[in-house]
Amino acid sequence: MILSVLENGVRREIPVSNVKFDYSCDLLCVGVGAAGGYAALAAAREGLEVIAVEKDANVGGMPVNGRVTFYYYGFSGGSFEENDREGKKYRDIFGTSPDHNNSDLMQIMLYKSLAKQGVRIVSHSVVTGVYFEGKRVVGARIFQNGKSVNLRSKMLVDSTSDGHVIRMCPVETYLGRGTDGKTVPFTIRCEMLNGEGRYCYNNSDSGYCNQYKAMEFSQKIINAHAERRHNPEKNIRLVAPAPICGVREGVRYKGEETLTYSDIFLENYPEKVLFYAYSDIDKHGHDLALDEELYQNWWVISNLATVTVRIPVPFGAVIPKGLKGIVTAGRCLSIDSYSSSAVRMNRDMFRMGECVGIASAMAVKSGCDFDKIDYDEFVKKAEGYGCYSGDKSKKMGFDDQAGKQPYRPVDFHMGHEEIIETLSTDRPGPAIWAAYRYGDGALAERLVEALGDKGEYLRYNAAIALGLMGRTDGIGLLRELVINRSCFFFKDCRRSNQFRSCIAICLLGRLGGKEDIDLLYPIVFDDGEFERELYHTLKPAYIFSSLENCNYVLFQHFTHAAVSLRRLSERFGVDMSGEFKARFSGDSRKRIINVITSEPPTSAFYGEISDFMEFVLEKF
Amino acid sequence: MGFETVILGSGYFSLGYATTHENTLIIEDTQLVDPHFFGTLSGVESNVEKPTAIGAAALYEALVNEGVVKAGKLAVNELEPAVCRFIADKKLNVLLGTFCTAIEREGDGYKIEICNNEGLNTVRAQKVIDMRLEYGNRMNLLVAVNDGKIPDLPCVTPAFYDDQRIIELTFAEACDINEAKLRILDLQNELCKAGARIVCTSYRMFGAPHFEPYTDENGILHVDETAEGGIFAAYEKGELWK
Repeated sequence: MILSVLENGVRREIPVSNVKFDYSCDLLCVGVGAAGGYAALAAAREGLEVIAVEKDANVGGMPVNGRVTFYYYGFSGGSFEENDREGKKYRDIFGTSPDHNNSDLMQIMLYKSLAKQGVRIVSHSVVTGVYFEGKRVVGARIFQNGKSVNLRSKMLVDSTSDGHVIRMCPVETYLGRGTDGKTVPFTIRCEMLNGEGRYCYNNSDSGYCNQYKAMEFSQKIINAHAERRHNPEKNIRLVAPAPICGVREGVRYKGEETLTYSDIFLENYPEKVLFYAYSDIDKHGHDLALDEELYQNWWVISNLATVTVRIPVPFGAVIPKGLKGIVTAGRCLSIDSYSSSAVRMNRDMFRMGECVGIASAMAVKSGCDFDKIDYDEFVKKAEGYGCYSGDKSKKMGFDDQAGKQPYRPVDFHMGHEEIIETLSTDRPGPAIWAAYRYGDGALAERLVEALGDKGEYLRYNAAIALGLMGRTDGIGLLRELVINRSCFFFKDCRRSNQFRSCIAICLLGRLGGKEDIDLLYPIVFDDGEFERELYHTLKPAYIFSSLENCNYVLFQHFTHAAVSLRRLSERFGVDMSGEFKARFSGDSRKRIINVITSEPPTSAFYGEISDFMEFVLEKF
Repeated sequence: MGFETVILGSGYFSLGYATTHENTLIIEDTQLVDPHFFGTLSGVESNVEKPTAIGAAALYEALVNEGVVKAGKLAVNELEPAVCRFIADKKLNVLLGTFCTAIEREGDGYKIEICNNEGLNTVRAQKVIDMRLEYGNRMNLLVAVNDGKIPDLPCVTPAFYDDQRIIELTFAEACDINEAKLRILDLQNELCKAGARIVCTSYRMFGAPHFEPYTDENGILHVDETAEGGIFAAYEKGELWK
């Protein structure tokens, strides 16, 4: 037998023998949060003996201790709804606003339902090692009440969000996006009271963090709390900041199957689905210039930030490759960085947990491995509990949860005339993507014709669509957009719309000629650029950015231009490294940052700009 | 990692101590810098007056400026961000989300095993102070009251704002907080009658028997900062500790 531990970030295997197991169970669930809570519940309901270990004193995870009490996307359906209904009976004694749940009630109802099913909860405890026999997990070592105990299990579910147990296992793990390794920014949620005595909320991105570097993470948390201030002038009182911070992304791993954002965007669906999630693909953060190409194609060039997608999560995406006796439930999956932004919504975590619990119970009861269960029977059970399919009618579309606009499905299989019609508006996003995904030679010809259109939008949008198809027919118009750069933005989305000239800058980086280096150069290297009217026209507005105290128009133009210049200079063998170094360091760096933001150095956005500059210095 | 002092448990004593003793590391298993007062909603009226020690007085002034201290009362539920601003300014070493899993003597000092998202790690120190408290049998609720109507419940005390109260719930013995919160539902009638609403609840249980600072057989100093009479007294004690 092997005890596998993590020491200072490095895994070590310790041969052990004659291990005395203090307890045994069918299912050991590590992490009693949104996913873990419902995994434990579902498994116990199916007749398993379940022990659930939680490092906090309070069960409930992010919805409870992180105070993420509202449901942002995710599908409805599943046992959590019964708990929500039960909790509603007591809402009158809490100050929660009607469109949010109450964290205490969520905790109470989850705990009550776990207790009812006989789940043994071990709180304020952590797993410090995993026992293996060959490739099979057979138990864990837990630190509980000041001492170590050993626990034997037939199945272990790692629902710790940050993959605390997975990282002790012999499986490849990954962190962050491909370009710079950064994960999605975290947040600290604050509950506040308004003048009418009802809750309101503050939820601001607090910058990038690496929760696996403990001291750095601690300082980020302290700084994030330190930035929270309530506004007594608006008669808003702070109730309390959430006891745990809102980490959005953690470690991923190599599983038997992997969900990628390419699969989602390009609609490649797995044969066996664990469950269906639902969300937009929002990586948070504002440094879009550093995002990977396919993501930029969707979010930036096609302006599809708020399109929500029904996401089939592969059955094997919860099974670490080559290992038995262990699965995951929650944020830590076999998934890529961008997809992980989409598969983490509260309701989907509850539903995923429940599906994993059902499947785990089937595996243990039939004495087979997780991936060998009767899949059709699993789907039938999960559908029975309502946690499997979600709303089949919501495949892809614009879904305004606030209800100000009706749901608008999007079908990218558009005919040529529909594409032209859509490109003739200030909401061309779906048509741009349709051209990219399904456009053929005939469409390209039609778009080339449209380059001569005299209307306000069509010729430019056609140039963008052709650019995304990899064609340079419209490059003259793209250059025109850069020369006449403006703060005009598209209107497809209810937020996060993209500036058209930034889209043009991005495309020039991919398609442009050597002469485009001179075109883009002043945006990055000329201080006079900052005086241009386009950077001093717009006030901050959610429709394109949620940032205050920030020249967002300048930030996007500047960063996209820097990345595009780098691409062009590399392609044409022009060495600009010295110029980048001089521009992005010392007094020049300070000037640029001061023009872009008045936030202090401890702020999240200042950190983003600073990180961008460091990236340039390191890579350019 | 090597430090002069490691303090297990974040709180005002540890913060005060860290400001006057170099090379101190504070290790806390929650993500809170104040699990004892903010985390339990305790100490609204505990010696909320300006202390004499320089550092504690500075903390007092800072919290007055934040609006968290006024008229002899402390807005306990608003403490965490204010104290974080104080820590950030002082650049103290605070390691959150970290459990201490073992301590043993090593020569003249200590070897401390910790567990967090980095896995297991070892810290060494010349001195160890243990501020971790056993979980007790009480929890607090902060409630909003209407028109002066006070819920008909035992142990209702003033809160920072006049239109709020603290309700203390006591259980027969040390209790898991999940189980304790379940008992909140039993208060529905009394709260509804008074038109009161729960604003927030304790993050942890409290109320284990208080003790004076003592040193155990391993030379580890144990401190119960909740026995010191409030956050400023606790801070002052840590600041002046020799």
